[in-house]
Amino acid sequence: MPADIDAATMTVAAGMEDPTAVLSASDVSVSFGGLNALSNVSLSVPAGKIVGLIGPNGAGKTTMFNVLTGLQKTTSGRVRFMGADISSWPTHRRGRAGMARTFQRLALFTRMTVHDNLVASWESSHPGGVFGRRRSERIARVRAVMDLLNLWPLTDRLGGELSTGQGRMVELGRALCTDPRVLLLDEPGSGLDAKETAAFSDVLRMVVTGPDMPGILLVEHDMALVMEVCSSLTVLDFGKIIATGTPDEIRQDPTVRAAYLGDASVV
Amino acid sequence: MSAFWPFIVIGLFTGSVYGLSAMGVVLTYKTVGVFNLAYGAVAMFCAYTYWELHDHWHLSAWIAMPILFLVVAPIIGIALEALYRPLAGLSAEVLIVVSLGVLALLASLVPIIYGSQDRQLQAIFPIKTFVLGSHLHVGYDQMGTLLISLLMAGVLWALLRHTSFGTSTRAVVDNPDLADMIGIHGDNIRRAAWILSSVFAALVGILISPSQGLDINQLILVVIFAFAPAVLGFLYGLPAAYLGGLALGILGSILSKYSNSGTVANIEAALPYLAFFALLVLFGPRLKEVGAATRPLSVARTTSAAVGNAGRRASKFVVGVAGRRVGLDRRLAVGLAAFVLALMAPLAFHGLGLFIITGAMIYALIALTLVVLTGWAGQISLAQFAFVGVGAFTVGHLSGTHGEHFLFATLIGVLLAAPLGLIVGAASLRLSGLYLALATLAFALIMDQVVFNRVDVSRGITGITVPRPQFFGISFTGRASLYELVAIIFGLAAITAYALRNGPIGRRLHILRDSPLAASTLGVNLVVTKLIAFTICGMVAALGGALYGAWQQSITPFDFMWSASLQLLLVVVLGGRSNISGALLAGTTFGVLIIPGIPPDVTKAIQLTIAFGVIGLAQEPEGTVAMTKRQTNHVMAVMRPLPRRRSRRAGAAAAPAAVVVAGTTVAANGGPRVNGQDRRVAATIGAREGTNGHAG
Amino acid sequence: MLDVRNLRVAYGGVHALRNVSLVVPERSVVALLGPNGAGKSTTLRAISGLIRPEHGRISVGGQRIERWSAYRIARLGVVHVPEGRGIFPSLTVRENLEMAAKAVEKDADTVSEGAELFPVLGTRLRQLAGSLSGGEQQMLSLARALMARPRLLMVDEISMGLAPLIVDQLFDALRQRAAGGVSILLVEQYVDTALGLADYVYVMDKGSIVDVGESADMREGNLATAYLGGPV
Repeated sequence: MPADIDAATMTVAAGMEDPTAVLSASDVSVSFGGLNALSNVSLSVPAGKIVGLIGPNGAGKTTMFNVLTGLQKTTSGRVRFMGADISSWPTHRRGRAGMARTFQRLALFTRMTVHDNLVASWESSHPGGVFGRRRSERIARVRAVMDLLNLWPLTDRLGGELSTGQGRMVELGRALCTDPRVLLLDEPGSGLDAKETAAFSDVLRMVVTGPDMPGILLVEHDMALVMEVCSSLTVLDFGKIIATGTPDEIRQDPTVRAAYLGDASVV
Repeated sequence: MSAFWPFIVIGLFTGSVYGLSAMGVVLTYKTVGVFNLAYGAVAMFCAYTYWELHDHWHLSAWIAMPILFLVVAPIIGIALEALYRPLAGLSAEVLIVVSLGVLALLASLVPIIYGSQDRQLQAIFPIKTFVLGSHLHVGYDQMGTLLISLLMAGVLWALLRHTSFGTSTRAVVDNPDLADMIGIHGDNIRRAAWILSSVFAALVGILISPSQGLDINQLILVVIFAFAPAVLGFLYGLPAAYLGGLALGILGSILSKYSNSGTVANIEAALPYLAFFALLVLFGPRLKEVGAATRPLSVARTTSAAVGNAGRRASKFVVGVAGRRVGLDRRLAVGLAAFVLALMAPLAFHGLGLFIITGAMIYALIALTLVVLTGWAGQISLAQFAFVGVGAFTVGHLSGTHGEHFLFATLIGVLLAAPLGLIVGAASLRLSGLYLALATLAFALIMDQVVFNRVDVSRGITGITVPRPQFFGISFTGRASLYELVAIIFGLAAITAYALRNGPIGRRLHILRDSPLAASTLGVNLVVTKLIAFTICGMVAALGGALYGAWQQSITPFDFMWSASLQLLLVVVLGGRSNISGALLAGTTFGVLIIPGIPPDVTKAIQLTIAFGVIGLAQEPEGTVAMTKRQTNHVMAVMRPLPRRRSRRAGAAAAPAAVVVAGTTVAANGGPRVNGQDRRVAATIGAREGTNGHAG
Repeated sequence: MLDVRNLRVAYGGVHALRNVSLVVPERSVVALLGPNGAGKSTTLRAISGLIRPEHGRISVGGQRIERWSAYRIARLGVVHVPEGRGIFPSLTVRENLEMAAKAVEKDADTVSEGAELFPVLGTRLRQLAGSLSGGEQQMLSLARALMARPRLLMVDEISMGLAPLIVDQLFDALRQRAAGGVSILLVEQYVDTALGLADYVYVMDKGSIVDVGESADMREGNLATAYLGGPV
């Protein structure tokens, strides 16, 4: 898939903060117990684009996600969302503002049906949802997401009964029900076979072209998926950025190959 | 300073008792993965056995001790291992209930086996004292206890940290499947660990019984005193538990120097519990439940019916009304019918019978708060009866003693419960699962000591008289009228709960239990949600308390003790903590238990049945109601002649519940379901093959 | 080495495996491929004794094991690296590695060997295994398994969540072991990687084996496209 070369991508590729980005982090550092989990990491996610965050295990990718979602405090640096500085916002506030996240290990609501997972998600992220307000809006949105991801065959299945592939789709659906402006996906391809991964790629591409034009930040090890959908990549190692650029550039970058990709022709 | 020395020395001896017990609790938790609330009961049972052998049968200590340590205690250990084996991976409240069942079982077995006469104990150690320093007389038994406990602390610590056995037990607790795959015989290791735990309990029992007396409740309580140092043990290991016990003993001893006035005496008595609560909340986020990390990897059982559904699955009666078809939720219809029937109960029941079912309904109301809090929102609370007590005593004082209006008194009681609910709710912000349960237990214990045991609050054993309510010109003095009042209140509560359950509020609570992390990232303010849940459930429990007081008319602190909260959890979990009908079942159990005039054997039989009932939780952790529902569904499925027609939206054919194994699902037909995703991919591949001749 | 005949496994009325038969010859690497839900992990769990089969025979080195308990099978030299994190989260990295010797050689210095295999583990010996990153846990899991001197090594989606570089390293380690005489049964998500290592390939779908062949041949086959989502 040819990378979209445009101003936004070029800016991100240069590692600079993009003022049009929906989500950006500038100079984020996190250290605990003498360990520098992240050192001066900056990245940005433009609207309507999929940015990949890749790197070796323990490089700090999940820590970065936790910083962005408010689960981890930073030692320094700022996080900006839709132009506002949200560095001090608690997690739930970020969720309500339009930041949605999926998890490396599925965190579905196991005792509820797939349909209700989505309903609960809408209610959690929209004010008044818990009192049942704006019901027609909720019904419409849930229906739209179920349509988009074709979750109807799974409607009445309990969250705890789903396979990994189904679960990942439902978690994505749940994230979409919050009307997000940015989606943070943590290894969503993990545990998916080739067919499921291909379907997931298609869905991601559809999502970013939707009316809200959300941006997606994707942490992933499945290089096939990453190279398919991402318009730019940021590579992390030992808590620092070692490369940014388009998939083609990263693929050939010797530093990245040495630290992460290896020489296999899988990518 | 020298004035303190005697107290410090005494405190050391008391403290070594706490330290011993704390070590036993921590040892059990680390090696077996179970927080054994019944640890004191095991210790007590072993103590009774020893004294039976030694005092009653006059066997010498050299014979009685080996029998105790090599025969009796190991048998108990093996029995407990067999009991807990099928319960691995179940949630904290279920495991707590199981240990409560064990406690009840052991407590009821002792009078059966050993009779209930008083006993005079011979000391283990010589009854001499020696003089320490200038005036201090120290008993040999105290010294002996201290030395033995020091020795055991060292031995156990070395065993746990530095032997292969210790590492193996921790591995088996952590990831039992993996331990098996490595070649560790999980069952044997577990048995050995349980035997070790019981043998140590036996040691604790015989060491502390001479000074504490051979009293069932006393011995069980001593172990609860030890929970505070046990928390230190969870974090920093066995020696910390022991040292914490010593510290607690010394602190308590020094405080007793000043305890002449009522308040300080109460605080001194509550010290172990205050320490317990404080330590839990302080160290909250650092406390990790053992074995919790690997629960998702083990085979999960399917749960019963879905919760929080937005009305899509509710089966409906279709009724013709004025020429149009109206769907009426089946469960709601049944509930309403039952409600109407219940209102007519005074036609069938009179006098004592009516009194009992009134009590059962009040209990059901209290149980309902636990269903909402624990079953739905996943917040274990062992403090509900503290709120009940607040409601009851407030009404007792204001309405009974001071003649205030009943409604006003009730309102005050309910309002008083609110800040208390906030305190308990605050604990839930830092703790979850087992540790939250323990913190709420600590709260209940503190309330017992600091509030309910105060003479000016509760008038001690005499208690307070509560009049029947009178308001809006109606006097509810008669049993029938009180019953109707209670029935209406419970009915309203149940209907409200049911309506909430299937709506947004119900869903909000359920996601709190299923995945608080996901809920938070989706936008749920966990702090606000938890605090509101605890506060409202506390307030409703207080309302139940006001009714309880009015019903029983004479209330004492014993009605609202920590054991009442534990019993509540027990019957609610057994009944079904996620269902409103579970609350009803709990109420019914309570009603049965208070029927007077039942021969003591039958009471014991009922208690034993309850104790054994916990074993059934292995089959159906969601309790009796769910088990019955599952069996009913099974029967119905067999009897139903034709498959139900499904709408296009509902998708593929009816499937029995699939089984989840390590995150993958095997669908009913044995393979991955052909769902929309596959069709989409197939379409994409087909399209590509059409254009380029190759897929991908 | 491993001979599985007519294996049938059921959960609560659902047949997860129907009539699965496969063979892992001595000193060879066999890959088990197929879409999610095909029953690959179930097969491994049945072999390692975590699941009791309803019907069928399983033999390891000539010894029938289908009725044996998991720990006994493990002591026979069958090492299973499970899907997901096969580690003890509240034990330290060091203790996890020490556990490896439980089943076989008590004196082996599994800790140093493990650290040699994956240097990053060597830097984290005193850390609790549960605090490692996902990929590091996967490395620990494999290190532990390799230290146990397996005769038959069964690996379930070891590459899940791992950086490509590390996957290369893991598969090099597996290749070395195979050259040294260990039989390996491999369930793997990345078809290319699996085919690069395996001598033979079984393809499963819906609880049955649907194809088998030498890996060289599989690269050409059409079945690969249908079941594995693309040419390999």
